[in-house]
Formats: sequence, structure tokens, C-alpha cells
Amino acid sequence: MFGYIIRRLIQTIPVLFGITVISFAMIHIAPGSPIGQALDPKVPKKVVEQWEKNFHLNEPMLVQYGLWLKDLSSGQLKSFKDGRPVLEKIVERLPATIWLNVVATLISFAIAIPMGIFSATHRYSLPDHIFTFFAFVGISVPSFWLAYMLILLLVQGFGIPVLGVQTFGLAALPPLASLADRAWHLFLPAVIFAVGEIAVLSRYMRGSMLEVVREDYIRTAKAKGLSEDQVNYHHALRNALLPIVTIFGFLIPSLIGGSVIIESIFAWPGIGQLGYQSVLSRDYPTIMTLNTIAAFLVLLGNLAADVLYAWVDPRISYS
Amino acid sequence: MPPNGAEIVMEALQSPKPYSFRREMFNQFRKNHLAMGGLILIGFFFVIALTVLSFAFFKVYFPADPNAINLTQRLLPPSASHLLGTDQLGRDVLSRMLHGSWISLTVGFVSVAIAISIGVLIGSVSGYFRGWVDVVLMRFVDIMMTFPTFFLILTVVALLGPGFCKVMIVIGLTSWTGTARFVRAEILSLRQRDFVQAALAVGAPSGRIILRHVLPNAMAPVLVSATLGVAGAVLTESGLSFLGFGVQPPQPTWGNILTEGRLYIFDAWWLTLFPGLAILAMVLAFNLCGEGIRDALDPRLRR
Repeated sequence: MFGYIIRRLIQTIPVLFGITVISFAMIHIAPGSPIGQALDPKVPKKVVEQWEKNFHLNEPMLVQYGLWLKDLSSGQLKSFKDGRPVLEKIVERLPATIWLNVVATLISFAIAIPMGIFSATHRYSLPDHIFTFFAFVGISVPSFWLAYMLILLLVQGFGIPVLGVQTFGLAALPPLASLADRAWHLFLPAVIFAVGEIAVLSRYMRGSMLEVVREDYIRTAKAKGLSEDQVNYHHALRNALLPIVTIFGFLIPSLIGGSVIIESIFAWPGIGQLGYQSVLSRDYPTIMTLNTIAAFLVLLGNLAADVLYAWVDPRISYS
Repeated sequence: MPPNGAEIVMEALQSPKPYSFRREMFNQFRKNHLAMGGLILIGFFFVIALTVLSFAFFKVYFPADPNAINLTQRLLPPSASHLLGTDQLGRDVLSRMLHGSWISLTVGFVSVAIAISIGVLIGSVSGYFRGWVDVVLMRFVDIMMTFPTFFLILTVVALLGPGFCKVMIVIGLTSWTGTARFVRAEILSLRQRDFVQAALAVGAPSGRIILRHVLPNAMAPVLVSATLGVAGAVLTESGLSFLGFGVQPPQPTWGNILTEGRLYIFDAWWLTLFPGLAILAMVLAFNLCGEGIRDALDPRLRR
């Protein structure tokens, strides 16, 4: 097992290298100098030159890449927009995004897993067909549209405020009420986030359960005369849940990619919003860093999923 | 209950037509009501898009000119004269939606065509030649797969500047990795079969073996991934439009009708509701259809 992890880590080195090359190359596909795009044309030439020097843009491409890597790994890389270190900007946004993801994940697991189990144990029944249909709707619905429909319903229909981390002008509320206010502002974007995850996860759970029910040991359990429930929940469910564990590994990447739209709509001060703002203002250092970190997280997530899977399922050996 | 072997044989003997894989698949697909519904809906969108497009070619617009501005009729709710209401410039929303339908379909099909071509090419080269070619190509696939797709597409489109063709190309260039992976896996197993060995033995060139013998046998899952890919591409395009990086106004698209409408969301709900429903319906149709084909191809799901 330990050897397997080491081997996997070594395998990720070339991939990691490729990630940084592509992240770096990406900004050079745009026509013109990156500075020219980001700065006002009225800025004096001397300031532009100073900028180019600060961001090593006057060096040859290969040297630029090397210096970029050095700055990135030492946390020295600065944003075009306000000159602050990029990593600092990302780290201060991290808690909001993590909260959003954790709550969304909890909601989706709490709903999707029972839904998937029910669908599998009542295959081809009316509720199964209804769940299946709604899972398809959940995968197909544009999240921004769903968000607007929900906002429209709540604000128009009930006059409930929904944007930001807390209701505007209510910062001086007593602690408990303030906490409830914040929780509510977190809940709504998390629900929108969860819709797609519920759809995917419930189908996954259903498939996994149906896969296990075909196994010989389930037939044996039934032949012994155990009740449906005993077989389903004691024998089948435990093994059917195993593949779900790996999903945790795949949730990490959605930290950045999945939340661009939702965080922008709900004015949620997380990483997705930072990403969208830096794309709008052509803040290349931030864009490059976000892409690199996101890709790096995917690598870690995949590795974590594989290791976790081997750990919970003794049938899998990575020798 | 899946039919047992004897039943299948009896059925095959009794039917006047010889057994055909394609007909069997189609029969399976037809039994799936959700998938058939999806297929019918796709056909419906096609008919609308083609009709509107051919009429627009002769400058005939119905029910109204989608770009005719009428400031005296701003933000009117749905009524008999404007079935889906009017927007902030007094344009008829129904006409704008009808004239935007071909955009979504075109983006879906062209970007999937690009993605599938690249995926099949890289997958089959990788799986057929194996060795270092395989290692290099698959590491490249690994790298591409680690980027957060939507943010990557958003970044590239933002850098290049928005536009119809750019959006299709960028979506196509970033969504081929899944296809490449499973085509490679299919081909790795197919190339060990006797008929490929026989073709090798008679000296057929690699290109011919791949195109004539191996690929046709790997096409069924490609069809599934293409259908689901169209759904994904339509959704991605609408997301880009929403963030202001899709096909640009005044060309009406479902995404940008919605985006312009969101400024008036509390005064004109119809500007947000209807285009969103249209996007949902199209994406849903392709998803249902794609999953239906996948189920039809899976013998374990026979009923």
C-alpha cells in the first residue's frame, strides 16, 4: 500500500509539470502583451516598463516560465490588479468556498443516498421512475437559471433576502440571530449546488446497489430465509456504499470549477467569484494560479479516492 | 425478468427477418419511454430550427421579426399578441427564442463533432500502436482531465474574445478526453481478436485495420458519448452566455435572452423563465436519449 502511494506520487510528477506548462502557455495565446490587455492605454510608458520588469515579461519565454514557477512556489506571485500576493488572495477566499462545498455535499449525500437505495430496492416502481426522471432534470437544468427562479420565488413571493453572506444592514444583530442569518445565506447557494450532485449521486447509488444485489452472497442470504430488509440493509448496502467513498475524492476539484457561476450570482465571496473577477479584469497571475491549484487538487483527489477505496475494500490490492 | 436463452432463440427462429444487432438495439430503445420522449423532443427542436432558418433566409420571420425594436411595447407580459411577452426593447420573446434555437443545436453538434473526432483519433492511435505513443498520449489526456473544465473554457474564451465559432471550437477542444480514454480501452481489447489478427496476417496496413476492422466495432459507445456530449455542450454554452462570453447580441440565443432578462427579473419573469425552460428541455432531451442508447447497448438491462 505504502509502495503504491509512492509509485502514484512519482507518476504525478510529469502530469504536474504538464499542468504548469499549459497554465503558463494559456495566457500567451491571447493576442498582444498581457500587460497591454490589463492596463489602461493612458498609463505612462515608464510605469508599463516597470510592470513588465516586475512580472518578468521582458525575459525570454523559457526564463519567464522558470521565474513564474519560482514565484508561484515561494508565494511571491503578485496579482495584476492590486499587487497583493495571489496566494494570500486565494487563501482568504478559501473558507467561504469550503463552507459552501461542505454544506452542499452534506445536503446531497443526505438526500441522494436514501433516494438511490429506495430506487434500487423498488426497481421499476412508480417512485423509481419519478426519481429517475428528476435525476435527469437535475443533471440537465442550468444552475444559474434554477438559482434565479429560486431567488424570484423567495424574494418576490415571500420577501426573503438571499444575496451575500448576510443580510445587508443587519451586521449588528445579536449573535444568535446573526448566525441564523448567515446560515440561511449559505443554505440557498448550497441547495442549488447540491441539485446536480444529488442527481448524479442517486443514480450512482442505485447502480451500485443493483450491481451488488446480483452477487452470489446475496442469493445465499436470501436462501437462508432472511427478510428483504435484512438482506438489503445488512448485506447489500455495506458493499454498495464502497464506491461512493471514492466520490469524496472527486468533490475536491469542484471547489473552483463548479462554483464560478453560483458564487457570482449569490455574491458569495469564494474562490469561484475570485476566478470570474480575475477573468473579467484579465488578472493573469491569479488565473494561472487558480488553474494550477485546481488541477493539482484534482490529482490529489484522484489519489485520495484510490487510496481510500483500497482502504475500505479489502478485495482490492495494489501490490 | 430478462428473457432466457431459449426464449431468445425461439423468437429469432420464428421471426421472418434474420437477427440484426441494430434492430435489436432499436427495439430495446423503443421500449424505453423516457428515451423515446427525448428523441421526439430532439426531432421537434430540429424541425423548428430548420423551418425558422429557411424562412429567415427569405427574410420571412414569424410570428414577428426577432430584432424589431418597439419601445412603446417594452416588457409586456405574455398575451395573445405576444405569446411569451416582450423584452426590454419591445422585441417579441417567442420570435427571439425560435430564432435562437438553431444556435444551441449548432453549438451542440459542432463542438461534439470536434471533440469526438479528436477523441476517436487519439484514442485509436493510442490503443492500436501502444508503447511510447500510448504513454505520451495518455499522459496528455491525464493533464487535460485535471483542469476544471468550465473555468478552463471560460478563461480561454475570455482571452480570445467571445464569438460563435470560438465558443464551439473551445468547447470541442476541451471535451474530447473521455472519448479518447474509452475508445483506447475498446481498441486495446479489439486488436487482440482473431479478425484483427487475420487482417494483420494478410498484410493490411494499420490505417485500414483501424478504419475498416476496429473502429466500426467501437462506434456504439461513441454514439452514447456523442449524444450526452451535445447535452453538455448546450449547457456549457448557456453558462458562457450567462457570464457574457457566449454568442454576442443582437443575435438572439437562449443564453443571452436570459442574461439580458435577468436585469429585469423582478419586473419581467417571462424573460428568465421561458428561455431557461427551453435550455432545460433541449439538454434533458439529449441526456434521456443518450442514456437510452446506453441502456439499449447493455445486455444486462434487458427486460
